[in-house]
Amino acid sequence: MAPLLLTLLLAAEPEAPAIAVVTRGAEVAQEALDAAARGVVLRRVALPNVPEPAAAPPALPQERISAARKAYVDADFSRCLEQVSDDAALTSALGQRDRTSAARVLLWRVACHVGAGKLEPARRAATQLAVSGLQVPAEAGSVSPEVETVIAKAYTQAAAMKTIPLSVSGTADARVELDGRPTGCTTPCTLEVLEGAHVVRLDADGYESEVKLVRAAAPKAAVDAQLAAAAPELAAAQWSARYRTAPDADGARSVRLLSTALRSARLVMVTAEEGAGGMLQGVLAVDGAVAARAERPAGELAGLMDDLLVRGKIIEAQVPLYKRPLLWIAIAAGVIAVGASVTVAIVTRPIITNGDINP
Amino acid sequence: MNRALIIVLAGCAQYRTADLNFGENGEGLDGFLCKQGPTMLLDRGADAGTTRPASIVLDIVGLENGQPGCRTGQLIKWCAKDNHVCAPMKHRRECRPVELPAGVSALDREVVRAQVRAQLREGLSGQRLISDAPDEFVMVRVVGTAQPCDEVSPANGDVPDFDPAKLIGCAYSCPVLLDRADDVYLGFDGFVGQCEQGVRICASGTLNWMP
Repeated sequence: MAPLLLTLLLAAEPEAPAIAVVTRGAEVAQEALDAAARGVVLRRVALPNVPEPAAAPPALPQERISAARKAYVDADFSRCLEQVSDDAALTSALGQRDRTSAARVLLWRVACHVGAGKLEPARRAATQLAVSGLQVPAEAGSVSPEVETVIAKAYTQAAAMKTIPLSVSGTADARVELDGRPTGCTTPCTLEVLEGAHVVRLDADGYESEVKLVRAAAPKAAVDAQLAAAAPELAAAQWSARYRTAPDADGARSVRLLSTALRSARLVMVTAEEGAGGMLQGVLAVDGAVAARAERPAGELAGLMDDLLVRGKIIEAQVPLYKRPLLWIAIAAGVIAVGASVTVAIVTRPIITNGDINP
Repeated sequence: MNRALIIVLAGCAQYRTADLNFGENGEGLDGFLCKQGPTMLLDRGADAGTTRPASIVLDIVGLENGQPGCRTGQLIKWCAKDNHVCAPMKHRRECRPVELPAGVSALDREVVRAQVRAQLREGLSGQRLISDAPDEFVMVRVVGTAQPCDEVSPANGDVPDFDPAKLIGCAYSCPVLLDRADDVYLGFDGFVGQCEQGVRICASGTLNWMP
């Protein structure tokens, strides 16, 4: 019986869980944090402050566009087309939101094709310029009237086209950009686009961005993109850019991103309001999801932690002794033991024999 | 807790009584009828008269929880030759002063037996000499001696030996588990050919041969 009880008691004491703690606002003393660590290990970590990654080099270098323009002027149309015929670079440029460069490349692609007497490719490039909603560059004034005609016709035809629905799905809540412009929609959503090639970019907190080329054809089109999870370094940069100074830094998305950035399965963010009488606000995230929120007056950090950890089911609430199952198990075991002893004593009654002499 | 448990257990105990006797007609009193020469041990050192003061001493002799045979030879072999310790248990000796017949050597043996029995009945009947008997096989021994109880009662935990010169008689039981016995017959079937030597062996400290 004793070994069983000992086993139960030992089993009732699991290893203390470790929890990362970040603080915002007024200073939270380390001593207060240490005192609040009831049954857990609180590990204070700093909020990330990582600059955004350096921008990638432009997909469409201006030098190449200038070289194409010079080749056009020199009537060297094949050299001109060499500079502007890279479709992948065009897609990347739109993915980088460089609509100006994309428009210029398409303009010179139209011009050089026309100059080379290839009207059909010229029309395709003009159509792409039009259906992508790109603004005709100012340098269009330096091309031939024939080129202007091709472009104007493409825009006219595009204006007359009916739109088709483009369904965008995949990683939830990703921000969707179309042809280098924000759309205001987040996945899953449906955009109205003109028939033709389009560049779709998706961005989401905690994920790598992705750019896709979509060829939309009637009656409807669709694109699905499952974004790759961001590395903690990227998540830290995203969080720093979006939430470090934002008032909603303790929001669900921020906390999820921060959990990834800090590599913390359990994260507590404490926001201490400045000044006397300020409140303490806390949020606990488990595996990135908000598990509990709590608020207490300043100075009650231990209570705040208790509220969070109990509501988040990290620790159990301090319950009265009589409400603890282990107590009743021990009492029941004791009663059983006493009952068994008494039963044994009754069944095997001791015999007390006295001897009287009767000669 | 423990105290309560003891009370509960004690309340559950089964109480019983074992009757210590010398047989229906006092046939177990042979050990009190020995003669040394023409004189009965009863008369040794006693003034002539109707009775003499004596002591009846009851011992519980431990047998190391063994069960030797009841015959004299079996007991002696068990206790002496097989190196078992057959000694009176400490704190178990009980002594009662009695009056025994004196000046009886010339009387018929059965008359003496009857007188001894009558005196013992008068002095001892119904007395409790064993309280809470041991839970093991033992031998019950009753020794009659002219020594007063003060001399033979346990002192400092030791059980004093009897003075062989003052022994009057002896009787013993077969090995018995008192918790299972109702009647415990105390008798004397002679350890040796000479009765008085048998009494000395019977009354000795370890039941060894004492010529």
